[in-house]
Amino acid sequence: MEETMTTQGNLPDFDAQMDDLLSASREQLGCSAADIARGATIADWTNISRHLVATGDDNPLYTNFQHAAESWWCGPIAPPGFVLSILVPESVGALYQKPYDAVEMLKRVDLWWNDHVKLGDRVDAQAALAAAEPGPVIRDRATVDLTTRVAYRSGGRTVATATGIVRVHPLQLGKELIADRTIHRYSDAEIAHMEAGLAAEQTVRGPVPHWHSAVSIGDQLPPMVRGPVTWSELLTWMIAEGRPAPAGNLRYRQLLEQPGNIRAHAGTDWKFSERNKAREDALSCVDVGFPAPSTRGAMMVALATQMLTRWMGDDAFLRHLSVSLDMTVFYGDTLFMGGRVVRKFIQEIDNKKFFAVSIEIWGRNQLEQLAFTGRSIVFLPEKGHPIQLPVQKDFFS
Amino acid sequence: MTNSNQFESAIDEFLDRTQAMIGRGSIEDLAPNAPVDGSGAAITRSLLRLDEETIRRYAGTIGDDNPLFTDSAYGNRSLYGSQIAPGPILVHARYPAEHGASRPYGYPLANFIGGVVWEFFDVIRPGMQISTSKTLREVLEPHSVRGTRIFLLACEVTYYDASKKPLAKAYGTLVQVPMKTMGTTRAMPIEALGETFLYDRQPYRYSPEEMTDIIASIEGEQRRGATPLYWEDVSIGDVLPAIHQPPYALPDALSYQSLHQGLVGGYDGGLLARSFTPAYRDHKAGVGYPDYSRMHPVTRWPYTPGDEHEDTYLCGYRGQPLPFDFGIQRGQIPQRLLGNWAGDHGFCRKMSMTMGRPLFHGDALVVQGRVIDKKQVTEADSNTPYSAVVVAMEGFNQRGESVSRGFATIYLPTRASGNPVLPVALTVPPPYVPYNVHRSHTWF
Repeated sequence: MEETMTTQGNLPDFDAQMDDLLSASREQLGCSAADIARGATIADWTNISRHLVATGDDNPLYTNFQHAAESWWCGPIAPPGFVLSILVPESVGALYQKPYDAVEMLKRVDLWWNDHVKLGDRVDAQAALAAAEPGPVIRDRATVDLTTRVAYRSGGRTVATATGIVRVHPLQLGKELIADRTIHRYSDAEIAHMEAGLAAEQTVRGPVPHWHSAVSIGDQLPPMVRGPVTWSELLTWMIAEGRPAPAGNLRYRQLLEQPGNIRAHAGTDWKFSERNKAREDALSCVDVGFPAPSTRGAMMVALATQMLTRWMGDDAFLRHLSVSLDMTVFYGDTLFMGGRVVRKFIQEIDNKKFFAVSIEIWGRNQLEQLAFTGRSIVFLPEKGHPIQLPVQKDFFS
Repeated sequence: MTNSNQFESAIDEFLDRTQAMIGRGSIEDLAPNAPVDGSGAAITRSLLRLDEETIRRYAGTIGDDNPLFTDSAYGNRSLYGSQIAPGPILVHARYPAEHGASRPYGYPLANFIGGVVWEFFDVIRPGMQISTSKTLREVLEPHSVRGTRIFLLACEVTYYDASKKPLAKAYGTLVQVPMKTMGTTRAMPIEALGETFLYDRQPYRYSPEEMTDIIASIEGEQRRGATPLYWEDVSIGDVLPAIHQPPYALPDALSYQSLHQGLVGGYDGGLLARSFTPAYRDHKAGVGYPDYSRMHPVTRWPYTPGDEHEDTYLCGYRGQPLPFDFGIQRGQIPQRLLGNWAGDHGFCRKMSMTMGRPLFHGDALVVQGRVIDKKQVTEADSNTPYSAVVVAMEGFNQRGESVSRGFATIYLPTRASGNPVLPVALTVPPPYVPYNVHRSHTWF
């Protein structure tokens, strides 16, 4: 589902701009995605807790060292979404090389996990621009899809891989909006509905095994309410991403290296502001096409992993998650998340049996619009068959 | 409807309970899982991990890319033999201010950092493990220029290395301003929002000429680096090259918090709940200074956290017309002014910065300095002489309004006796320096 858009005035030659972006980005294929700022370099408790706080994750498998020590994993581990605190797969290719009339949005993230990130591990990631292709024509405008591939290493092991697609949408900055929305004003009934959802949230499954044989196709995941998003959520997620946050004089110098990311701040006219951060600022978001401050897409992926880990229990392992980010989640929005088991199967990898379920997930905002959809594979324990990690000895990257 | 007596009664209760806290170990800003009932040790470990990357990132958050702080190879070649950290990085080991008494849903006072005074006894290096103690020392009630009561809460924080040797101290002052519009709790009723602002401000719009000047100043910033500035070559009246910050914006609000988040525990001793369901539970229960829940003026969500600094929609809850900076962050930036001028061989022994008014989002900052004294000093319990200069500093916004001022004592190398001897010898424990002393230039 695509968002609606308002348009004013004469349009620039978007097709030519997208052709140019495509060609320039293709020159970077295979190169390190240097435009993505690196996040955490160590899975210490501070960095892990920043991720937990940002997602509101109180799962004792991650928050309680004693609980983790008593688990099948024998010690503290990071939640699977923590890889997004190491690096978000969202290269924008050549977009920052020169000004384009466009906005970039993380559209899709696919993650595969092979092992846990353990407390205290040194972590890093190698990211490269893997593809630059025409995207779908949306609202009669060509788009560009930029694909990033990432391999995450923890304690010297490749523990996960990611593929992220950033879609570049042509847009008249300062004149158009990606959505005809304002910050949502909740009615008393809506507030009561949200509070009921929050109150009804089930505790995490924890150490009680979620046996594969006890799961049925059609089983629903406990619903999860997350929101309404305020600056606290925006900020703590930015912190959880772990990227350096230099002061303005140093950002100015860095910005000179990204002419396509420079835009005058709509509130002050200061001419050296980051266009890609203006969307988070209530004083400048409209100028860059966002009707309200917006969340970063990776946060939705992290919330999706949380919903799965709450359901699956301590002894299970999240193997795969693919999330399609269908709609921007704005400041003030609330996510109503859910999921259901759609398949059960057994995978044999490196002569080990993994008892798998496939799960559909979704998140709707308070307007009943789909904010994200996704699918995942979860390995569940089965009696006599605890999960052995790593999943694969030679994990592809 | 709150009447005046209820409001005054709440203020009096706050004052009485806060005064009773004087001399007791603070339970604010402890690491997660530290006891928050006062039963913990007086000196407690910080989670701040002083590795090379953290130091590099910290230096970035205060706009200082001095290779002494960012390049371990440069640091290894320096007189210190390793990368070092700007001293104010210790703010992340323990916030140097104390908010005073609290209660569910709080007292009707708006809080602002009034100033921080630092004493440094040694340089901060990678690998150091920091412990801290914090004690409220004074509660003062000066006459306000606005004719209303204000309270100053002065605290003392000591930062120790792994062997419990003091590395630095901070005397932080928190200003508590009673706000009638808040009624009897920390979060004012929504109907009072916007009724009273402490300042009259709109976002500042820069002319091309103003922007050209600021950019030229940023690009022209000079750093002395490894070339020593000898004490003999400094004269009273010398002017330090000013440092400039472009207009404060939302990413600047992230800078300070990008390092601080996670180092401080929650109000129940666990993780500090700031997002989603755990935060909702705290807000509904009325715990969490100063994050008590408030009604969001746009969404109407009744349990909105108190991001009054950064959030355009919530800053009015602190009586501000626009989002505004963290004074604690602004108080660290002048160390670059001093470091650029004094070079690698200078040692910042004392540094203060008092906040005069907020720096609103969109405000630029220039910090100026001038040498006001030059002297030989001998530290207590030591015969080691130091050659010191005292610098007066002042920060201005783009309107030319003074937003902060302070002083610094810098120990400089001399041609006769070489570099300042570190660490500085100390009386143990170093004594508390009272508010009316540490705010005066004569103490520097």
